[in-house]
Amino acid sequence: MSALPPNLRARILEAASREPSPTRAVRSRSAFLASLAAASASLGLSLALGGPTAKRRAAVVALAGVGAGLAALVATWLAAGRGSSMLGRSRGTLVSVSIAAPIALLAWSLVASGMDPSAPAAGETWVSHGVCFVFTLLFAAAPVAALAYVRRGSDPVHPRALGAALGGAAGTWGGMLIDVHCAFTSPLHLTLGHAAPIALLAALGALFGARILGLRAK
Amino acid sequence: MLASPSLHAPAAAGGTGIVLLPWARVRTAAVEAPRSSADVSAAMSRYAGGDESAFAIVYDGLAPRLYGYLTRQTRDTARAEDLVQQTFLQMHRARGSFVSGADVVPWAFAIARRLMIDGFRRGKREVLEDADERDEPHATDPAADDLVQAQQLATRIRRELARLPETQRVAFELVKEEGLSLAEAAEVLGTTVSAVKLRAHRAYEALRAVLGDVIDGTPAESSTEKRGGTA
Repeated sequence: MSALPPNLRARILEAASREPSPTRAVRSRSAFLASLAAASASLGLSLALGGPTAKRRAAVVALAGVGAGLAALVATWLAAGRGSSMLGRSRGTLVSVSIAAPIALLAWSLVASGMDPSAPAAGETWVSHGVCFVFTLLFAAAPVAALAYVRRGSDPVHPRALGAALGGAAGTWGGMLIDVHCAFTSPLHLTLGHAAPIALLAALGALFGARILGLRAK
Repeated sequence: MLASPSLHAPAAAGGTGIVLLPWARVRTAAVEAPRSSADVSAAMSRYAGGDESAFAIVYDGLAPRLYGYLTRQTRDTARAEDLVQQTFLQMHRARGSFVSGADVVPWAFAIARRLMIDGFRRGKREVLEDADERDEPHATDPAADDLVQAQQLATRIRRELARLPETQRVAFELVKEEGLSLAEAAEVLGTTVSAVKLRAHRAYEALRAVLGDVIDGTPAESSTEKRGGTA
């Protein structure tokens, strides 16, 4: 067999000692701060817009928000967490998250809107679909940045699937906030204005996942 | 040198039930891991927690396996050495994300494999066939005949392995040559255990078809004949 070069060990240990790297505690702290910054940015933007809509019953708005928040929490846990493996979740799990996230949010929004007979049944236009689409993306921007920061350059196996799942998870947070704000409840509006941006973020995550999340030689 | 025990023990390699080929006895690049995966993973976990001295243990436990794997894959010791160094530095940079209780072996192999593939994609791939021909040993000493024959056999096996579809070859190499369990190989390749098992089995069957004489003394269909005599 080819023997290990005798000086390789010393070279690697010396190179590692010269290059500082964050320990688990430091990394956990920076991940926590990134999450906090993302939550503050999205909630700040949400509050700047005036808080939840007054045109719907508060209990239904709260129900919609809590359900969507739970969906976002589960999606984030599945997408960003590694489980018990350093290589993260399986490709199948990640792809499922990216597909299920917009569907789950849409389904929950439809259920919540069905409970509110006082919600406006008409008045939606393509402009209102577009406004919600843009604001969902804006609400999701900070979570996208935080998740990309936490998992950047870390996936040697399936970065595209990871990108899609992270995009879907971040998009669901945006979907939660737009659900709380938006008074429109028709299936068309919820699909185009609330769920479609999540699907778009998942697609963008798949597109740029290899570049941002993939492990690369330095 | 004899192969590592995992090359001889299908159960230890994940219980595929696939009978190992006798070339494991003649392999020249097999390696023995001085420490168990659990020890190395525990050391990596300590390193993630800030115990700087633990990285040497991680190196000692993984470097021989990684170097053997990369040398076999690249046929270039200098390149393998460079990739081992890059792999460990990537692990060093990412130590803070190491999950307590996770297995470090699939992670290390996945990093090494990714860096190697990236290197190939940047146009650094060696012409493996030519390297095989250059490496073909010739007997100059009667006492070395056995070794030379073994090396020629290993070369023949490598050549046949190189002809397999990549998915099958990689699965076979990780499980049968590197001694990874099916679960570990599945993690490295980002696929399921059953997919790895199937690929490794198909690779074995394909090799058995062309190397039957090596396996059980029966004449084998040559790969040239198998491909319609066009190769």
